[in-house]
Amino acid sequence: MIWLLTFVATDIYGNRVNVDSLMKEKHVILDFWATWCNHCDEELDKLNREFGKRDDVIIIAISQDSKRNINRVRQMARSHGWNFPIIIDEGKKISSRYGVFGLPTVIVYEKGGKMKKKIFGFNPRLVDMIKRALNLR
Amino acid sequence: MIYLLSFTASYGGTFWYADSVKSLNEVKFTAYPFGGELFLQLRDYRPYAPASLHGDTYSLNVFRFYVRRNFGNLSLSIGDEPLAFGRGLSLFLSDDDKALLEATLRGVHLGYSFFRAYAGVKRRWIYYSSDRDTLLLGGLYATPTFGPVELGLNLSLYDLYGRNEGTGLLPGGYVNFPLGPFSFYLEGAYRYGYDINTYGRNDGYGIYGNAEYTTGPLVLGAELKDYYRVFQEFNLPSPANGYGLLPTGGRDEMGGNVYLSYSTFSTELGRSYNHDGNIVMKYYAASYYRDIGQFTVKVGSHHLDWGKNLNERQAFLEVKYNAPFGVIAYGEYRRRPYKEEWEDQPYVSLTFIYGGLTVAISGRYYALSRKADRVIEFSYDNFSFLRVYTSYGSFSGDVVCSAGVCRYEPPFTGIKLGLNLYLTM
Repeated sequence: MIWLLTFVATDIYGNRVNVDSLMKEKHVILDFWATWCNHCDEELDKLNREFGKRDDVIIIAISQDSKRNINRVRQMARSHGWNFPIIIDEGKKISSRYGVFGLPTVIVYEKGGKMKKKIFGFNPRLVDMIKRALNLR
Repeated sequence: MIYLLSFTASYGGTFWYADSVKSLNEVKFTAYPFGGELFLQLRDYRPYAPASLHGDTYSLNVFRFYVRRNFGNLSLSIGDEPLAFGRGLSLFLSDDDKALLEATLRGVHLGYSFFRAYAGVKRRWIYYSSDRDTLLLGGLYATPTFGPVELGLNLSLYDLYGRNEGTGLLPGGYVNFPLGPFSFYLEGAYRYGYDINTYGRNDGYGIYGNAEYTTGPLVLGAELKDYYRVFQEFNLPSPANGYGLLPTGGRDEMGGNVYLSYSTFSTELGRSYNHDGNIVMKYYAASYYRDIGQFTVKVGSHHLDWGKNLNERQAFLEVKYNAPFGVIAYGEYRRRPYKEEWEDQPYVSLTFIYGGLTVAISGRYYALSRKADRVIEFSYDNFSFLRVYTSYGSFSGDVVCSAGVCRYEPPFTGIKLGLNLYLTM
């Protein structure tokens, strides 16, 4: 079964992000988060350390903060050194489409667009689970 | 032709940052017929507190919907869409889970390149029975970019009737540009308003500025604001209010804040006053985390005084053990006003995570009122489409961090069951 829920959006730096194209080229990790979520910054740091420099994986962080707080989102991204696309999900339209019930939520897609894992809340084995799901070393 | 259907459903009383919600159940449905998109969200809401305080009970109804399609470069949407222009001085209609506000615009939304036209009525799905105003709104905005410089111009026309009545024009604009390691943002709005109740003008204005300096992991910033009656009826918390509080109304507020972050450390200090010079709000917040071997340690504190609405002193310590199984120990010390004294309200929670199974126990003690909350919760997640959870105990309702998630838990006594399903066909 192919999961084809994709979207096109502009990230906080003004770059266009086409998730459909990215899913055809790489493994995609969608991380739903917010600046007010206590566990979210740690989780994104973990993902960034493990997958941030890989060419075959891309992290896309989808923030449930509002556009009016975009400077807060940028502040956190810069000070934590997150160089992956970060999208503001105004009105939680993207979150609704992916069935995100709370934060943090990580959804993992293998190259080609098939969903492999959906992890809700903090999980200490997050990185291992993603590596196993995507057959990565 | 691709036709896809996705269905999400959730049942249970747990909801993030909802105030006094007894139960809130909803179903979300998305379909992609004929190159377009159809979204429908049904919601059933029961407040815990009496209706006079926290709004009416809503039985199952269409909470949000839209139909959307692109025709080349033109996008058309009919239904409920959020509208956010700049940092929200002249136009901001969206939702806010912390206060359970739904303020999208129900109407027609047209987009072409960097232009957007809108016309409709603001949703009033709000948990306060005093919100009986109806706002009709229409306008146009443009957000062109010229290299690194972003510009925005907006013009809205509104007609408000109900408890507050008036009509007017609301132009606004912003500019955002970098300059080496600095970035600057400036936004302004003016309201040409007419108050039907007093047969007089009720003009207002808003000015907001944000400057930041970034070098490596260091970010240093400041925000300044001066608002006067620019968006009280149709806007949510004002910017330059880093604490993300409930609406201050924007009627009369000036002030700002400074913030600093370096890697995993951040701190912020803010003040705001009314134009008579009386202090409206002051706050301070800081947090830091560090990985130490298999452990992650996080500390934080905040100090908040917001008129008579909210006064709080809080500090927390969280220790996570990251292993094949996970353990999160969270301790929090808080002081809040209780009958004209400060009451100590310590809170602890302990969570065990193994695969998709989570067990958490938590409790809070109220030193002056001599009450105690005690909750045990279990959840199972199949990491795909299903999560079930149950909790047992008594809880007076508050923001909690347990079982790996921070959220507002409404008051309850006894047993609670929850089910989250996400199905795609």
